Amino acid sequence: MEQKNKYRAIKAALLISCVGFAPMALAGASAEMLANNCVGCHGPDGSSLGPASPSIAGDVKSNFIDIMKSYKSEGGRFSTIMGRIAKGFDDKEIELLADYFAAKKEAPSNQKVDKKLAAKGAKIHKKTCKKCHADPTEDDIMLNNQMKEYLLYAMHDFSSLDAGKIASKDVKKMVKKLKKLSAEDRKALANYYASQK
Amino acid sequence: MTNFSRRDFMKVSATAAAAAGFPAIALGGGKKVVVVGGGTGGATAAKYIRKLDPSVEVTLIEQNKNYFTCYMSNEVLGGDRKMDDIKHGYEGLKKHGVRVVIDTVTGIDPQAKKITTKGGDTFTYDRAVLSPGIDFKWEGIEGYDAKVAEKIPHAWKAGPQTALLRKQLEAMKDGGTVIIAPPTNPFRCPPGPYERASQIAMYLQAKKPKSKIIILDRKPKFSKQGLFVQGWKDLYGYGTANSLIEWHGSTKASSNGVAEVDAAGMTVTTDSLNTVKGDVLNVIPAQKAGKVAFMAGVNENDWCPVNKKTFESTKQKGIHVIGDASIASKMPKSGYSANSQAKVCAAAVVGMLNGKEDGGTPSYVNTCYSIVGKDYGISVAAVYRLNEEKNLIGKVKGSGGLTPMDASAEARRREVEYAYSWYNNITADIFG
Repeated sequence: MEQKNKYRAIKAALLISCVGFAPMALAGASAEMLANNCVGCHGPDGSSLGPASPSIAGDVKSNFIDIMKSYKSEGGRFSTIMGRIAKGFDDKEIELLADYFAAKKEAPSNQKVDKKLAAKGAKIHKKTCKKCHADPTEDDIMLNNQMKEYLLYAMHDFSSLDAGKIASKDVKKMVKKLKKLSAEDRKALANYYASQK
Repeated sequence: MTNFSRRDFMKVSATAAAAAGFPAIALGGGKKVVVVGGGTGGATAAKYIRKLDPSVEVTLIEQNKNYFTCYMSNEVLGGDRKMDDIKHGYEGLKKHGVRVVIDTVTGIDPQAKKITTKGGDTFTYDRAVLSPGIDFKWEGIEGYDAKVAEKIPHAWKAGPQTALLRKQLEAMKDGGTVIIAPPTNPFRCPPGPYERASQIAMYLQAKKPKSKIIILDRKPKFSKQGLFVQGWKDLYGYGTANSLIEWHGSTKASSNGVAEVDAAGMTVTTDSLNTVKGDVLNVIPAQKAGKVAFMAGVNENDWCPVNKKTFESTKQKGIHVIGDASIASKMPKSGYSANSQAKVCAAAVVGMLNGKEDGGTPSYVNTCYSIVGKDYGISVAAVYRLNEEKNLIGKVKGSGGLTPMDASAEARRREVEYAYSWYNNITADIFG
């Protein structure tokens, strides 16, 4: 990766000297400027006020990058609108955004949760999800404090996938597990994660 | 990105000064910005200038104590929202150190860099940001003006006009006719009139199902047309004899645009001389930049040309123009555009006040949701970059576009939830 970046930097430098562009012309938008494009939907500093748009503050960098690239790719992660928006940012910009939001602290979402369901969700989490979604680890996909609605969408979308066609072993495992959960179970899980700070 | 800018230096020294008990403002060298207009563009710019450089003294002059957002005001017409749900105050901006002045601007002198108000105050500035919004070209429709609009609302600036139109819809008998006359291009919120028709249809379907909406349009086509028509077919019987909505567009040969309003007789007459009687008339005139733009002389005909990197007026140095009033092609005149432009403008203003040419490379975005009915949302989106050669804010290739025509019911439902999320988040970004 680093090697590749180095190569890119050299290539960019050569381009400048060959074509004679002023370096200014190649300077991209700053992370702050790019992040300005996200907060209208994802909330101040990436902490969403909901009801559905997910918070992106505090997202683990590698996950942020993976998800954005998946939105961009043909046949990637399903979305209503993010696919259209993700295509507006190149790899370098996505990395800048990932660093920017990883450094932000997520504000408590203060969502209304059904305590009974959340308690049921806690049990399902422990039994079914915790092994991979153990918090807090470096590689964890952020679920705690996330928007309830969004969690339900994500569970719905993953459970609709054909497990046989998924390359990642971990995702395949999750899809199979999700398929076995009832709608009520998923609701319980969403309420549990939404209740976590 | 790595250089320690003067801005950062200011931040550090301001903090140090505050700790030492000095007023931070004294260190700013008296950098003053006056923002005129506390709508989406103006409020965002005021807040973001303070965020980027707390040493800048920012004054926001706005004529109303509260701001009602145009976006989601169609939901007030449909009945899913109340006026209070689209009302925003300026307490949040004050917390960011913005000085908020409720007054009406009566004069702008770009040479002396002075702004005067009805209240008798004079404000000087190093840079001014105007977010004047829109004004109406009443002269385009015979028998229609600001006074008549108190009976026949345009409701194209949210507030009392929205409340009035809703009241009229509530008072209308079942079997009544609502006439909507959308404006010609360019105008604020291109999909707005069609979302409005959808929201009113939703209300009528539930409460007054024998009624009808007739859209009389001078345009041959409209924003998100394919998706709207599909939604109207799915929800409101569009194209059948019992359709709740009829759209009458125009061709070169024959125009269905409204040329005349008879307020006493409650009729409108089209360019092709068809007279149509309605029970509720919603006539939306053609538009131009808000009054303040003309006061400052930053307009060229109806709208305001700007440097698209800084939003500085090409007509008057030291004055920036953002939002619906500016010519920011190819961004549409939308709330999210105004919010995005305001952030680019804020970066430029702060950069220029600190001895730079601009605010660095800009990035712009627009997302626009329309709620066609219950659980039925559609959208258009784009990410933009500046094409300096063509002086255009162009879409990033491959980005953006419309909701696909074959989106599932679940996806359309989610778009409504995302529209609500957008509203909550963007209003927090602007006013919070």
